[in-house]
Amino acid sequence: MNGGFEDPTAAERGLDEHLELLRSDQAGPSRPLADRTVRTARWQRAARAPLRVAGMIAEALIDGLGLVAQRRRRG
Amino acid sequence: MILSAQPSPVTPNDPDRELVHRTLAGDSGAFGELVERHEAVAHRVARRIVGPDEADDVTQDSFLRAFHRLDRFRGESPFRAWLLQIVHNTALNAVQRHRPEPVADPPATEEPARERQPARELEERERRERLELKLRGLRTEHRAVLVLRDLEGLAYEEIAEVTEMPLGSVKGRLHRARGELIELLRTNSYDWELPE
Repeated sequence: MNGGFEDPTAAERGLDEHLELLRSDQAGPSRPLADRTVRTARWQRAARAPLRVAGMIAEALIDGLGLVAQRRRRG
Repeated sequence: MILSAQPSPVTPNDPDRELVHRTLAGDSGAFGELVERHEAVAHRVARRIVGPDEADDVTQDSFLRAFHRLDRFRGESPFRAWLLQIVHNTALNAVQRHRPEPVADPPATEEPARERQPARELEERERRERLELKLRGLRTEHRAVLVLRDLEGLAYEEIAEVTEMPLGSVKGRLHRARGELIELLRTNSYDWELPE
């Protein structure tokens, strides 16, 4: 059997026959994905490093401001 | 073990081995070839889990996730199984974000464009759409294993990798999925004859 049913019941055999309808439908994406996926992957990779640096700077600034605020409260 | 740090950790017989290595070395054309090679199966799996409207987005999102995580691909299983694991997880997440689709049979109205199709082709297409709708009525985790096994023909071992489940659980879940689909086809359906 195409679907690989093992020791199928009569109902499973019937189901397998119905599923052949879907197995015969090999339609892929509405338009090829490769080009736009590669383009998106490229810019995402290029944007990652600057975004990571910006994130680290923002985190350091927040930490610094927190320390300043803490000292002011104590002082 | 990270792929880029080791000489050849990818499954030796994996036909994607060379493309994976080239992608990791910065060759985005090789990644494009991986997409072309697997987009059909990835899209079919996505479409049958999330439905046709979101299938393109889920498929592309899965490939992008694969691209950014490729340095974490351990190569202990073939690239295709690893990719389908990402497709499977991305599709399940997409389903969780949305309300379930209705599972009732669609009304028997014909669109104008379809009237020109030969009657037999039209009938088969409508039957397929009704069956797909029934399939989407399954519980998501049941739908996923049934799609991977009964529609895509993956080996149980490969499904275990994709779904991150033990082999025994895969077989049990598949048995329950088939039972659930049989019950769905018997309920409110006039043309799915299934013996008791």
